[in-house]
Amino acid sequence: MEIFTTVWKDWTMYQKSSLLLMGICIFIILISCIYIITRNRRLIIHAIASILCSAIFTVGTMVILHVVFDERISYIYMLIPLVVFLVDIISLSMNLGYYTSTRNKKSFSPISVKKELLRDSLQLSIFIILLFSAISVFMGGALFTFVIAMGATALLIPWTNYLLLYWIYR
Amino acid sequence: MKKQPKITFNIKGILSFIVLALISAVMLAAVFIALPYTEKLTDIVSFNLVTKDQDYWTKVYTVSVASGNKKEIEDTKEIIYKRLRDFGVERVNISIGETTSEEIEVTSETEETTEEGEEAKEPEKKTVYKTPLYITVTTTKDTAYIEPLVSLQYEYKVMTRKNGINFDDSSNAMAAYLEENYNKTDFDHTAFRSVYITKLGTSTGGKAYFVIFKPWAHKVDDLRHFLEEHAGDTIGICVNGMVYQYNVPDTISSNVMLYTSTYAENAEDVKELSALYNSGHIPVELTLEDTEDKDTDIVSINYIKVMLGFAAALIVVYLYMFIFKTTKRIELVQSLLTTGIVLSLYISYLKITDTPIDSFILPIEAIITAILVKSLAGNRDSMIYIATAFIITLIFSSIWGTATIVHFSIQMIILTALSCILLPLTKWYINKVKHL
Repeated sequence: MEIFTTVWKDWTMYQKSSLLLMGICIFIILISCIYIITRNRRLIIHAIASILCSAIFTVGTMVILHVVFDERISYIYMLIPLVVFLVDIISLSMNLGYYTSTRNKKSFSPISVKKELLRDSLQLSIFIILLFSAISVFMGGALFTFVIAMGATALLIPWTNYLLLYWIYR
Repeated sequence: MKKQPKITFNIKGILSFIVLALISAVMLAAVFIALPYTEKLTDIVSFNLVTKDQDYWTKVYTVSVASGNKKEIEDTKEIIYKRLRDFGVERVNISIGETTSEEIEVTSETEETTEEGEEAKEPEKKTVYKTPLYITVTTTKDTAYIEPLVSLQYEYKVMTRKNGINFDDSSNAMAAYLEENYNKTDFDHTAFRSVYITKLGTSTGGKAYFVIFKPWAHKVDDLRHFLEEHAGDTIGICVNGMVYQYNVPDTISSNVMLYTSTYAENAEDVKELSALYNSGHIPVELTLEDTEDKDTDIVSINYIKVMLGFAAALIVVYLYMFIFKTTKRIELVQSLLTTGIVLSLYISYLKITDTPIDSFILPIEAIITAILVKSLAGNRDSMIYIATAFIITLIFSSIWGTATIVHFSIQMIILTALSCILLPLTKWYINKVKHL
């Protein structure tokens, strides 16, 4: 894949190692926090799978844009992984918050967690669709593609989290 | 006679009213300043959103590395990248060209005399390697700072004066600054753990920037013995081929270090020097072969149209949630008001302080802030988790990310902090206004 070989060849070891270190540190700290707070294996698996999916979707988006649409992946596309990850954090944290506040209540059940995540995913999706569409209208060319790609990838995340939770708690 | 009714002052109520009025005034001022084109309405205070889009320039520097060794070339590439990154250059791309080699004759210093009948020895030949590095820099920084960062080896070492050289000769004022008039010592870049550039008092009573060389712990004793041997003498610190004088004090303090003066006059000079000294040691000679201006590949947007579009979309989203009753009304008002105030305060700050910003990042920050504020307002039980996870992620990405990520992360940290602070304040504000 040309994108990856170009990145591997042109990037310095400092760039590669600092980005790798950043990713690993964030991943370990967030998963550790989830473990300490919940001690729930299913939620930890859900979080790990969600973060990995967000990484796969981001890389997949860039590959599709480059290979299928012949789009040049420029420096602005570096923002997509971070923005998508921030949306993922919001989705996971909302689920985590609901779980920790209701786990000791009588009404708590996996179905209530799924329902809450569905409600949150719907709200997140409305925000993402409307706000990203609104700003993309005023952009042209490479910026338009960039914003649409970012919005589309971010939109996948809450629904992926919902599907993952549905699968984990089936 | 009827008793006059007592006039009682509700101090708490009056104070609440005054505070509410002040907060409302600040909010309105922030919104007014943040709105587009309002800077044209008044000349009293200057505020305008400064975008970096027009300030970017792109140059390709061709720097020749005097080596064919892959490791030395890679090390040089790493250090140049680190220098540029530490200086704050927004985009850097370094590619390695083809290594070329050339055989040159090495002439010996002593003349060789040949006796009659003896064949003259062939002069020694040495292979000289050259590898070009193509360094593409896109930045808003001053061009004068970039060239030294990409083309200077910036080696530094401690040296002692050679005997037999008159350093006080007024007809040869440069004698004291030439490396060839000094002897090498064991103390070079490997002996010092870090180099600081800081403002210190001068002998004339003013202040100037000085470079302070701090040795490694295991080299402190060696350096102390060396300085004690040369107590009262003048030694030299050779930096990039030019020698700076250092008068060794008669008594060496426990805090062993060396310092020299420097040309630095402002913060940018200090930043450049710090990048040159502390990014690593380039093992080979560098030569700047060529510089070429290129068209700058920068994305820019009409941020006024985009922000108006964003504001309209935000209102539509909240109207949707209001009409379809997906969220409580008070929560909607709180999060919409908080989003508006956070973004207004931030843009007002950028405008008043003339802080330059990449225009395309602003709408994305606005979207993430809107989503963040709504999530914080609508999920009280998740507030601490969302805020903590955001701050952790953004701190790490601001430290280890590349240029665009670093700027975005720092700005998002500010917006996240503002959102967390203003959310409970707007709730209090709404409650107080309701009960007025």
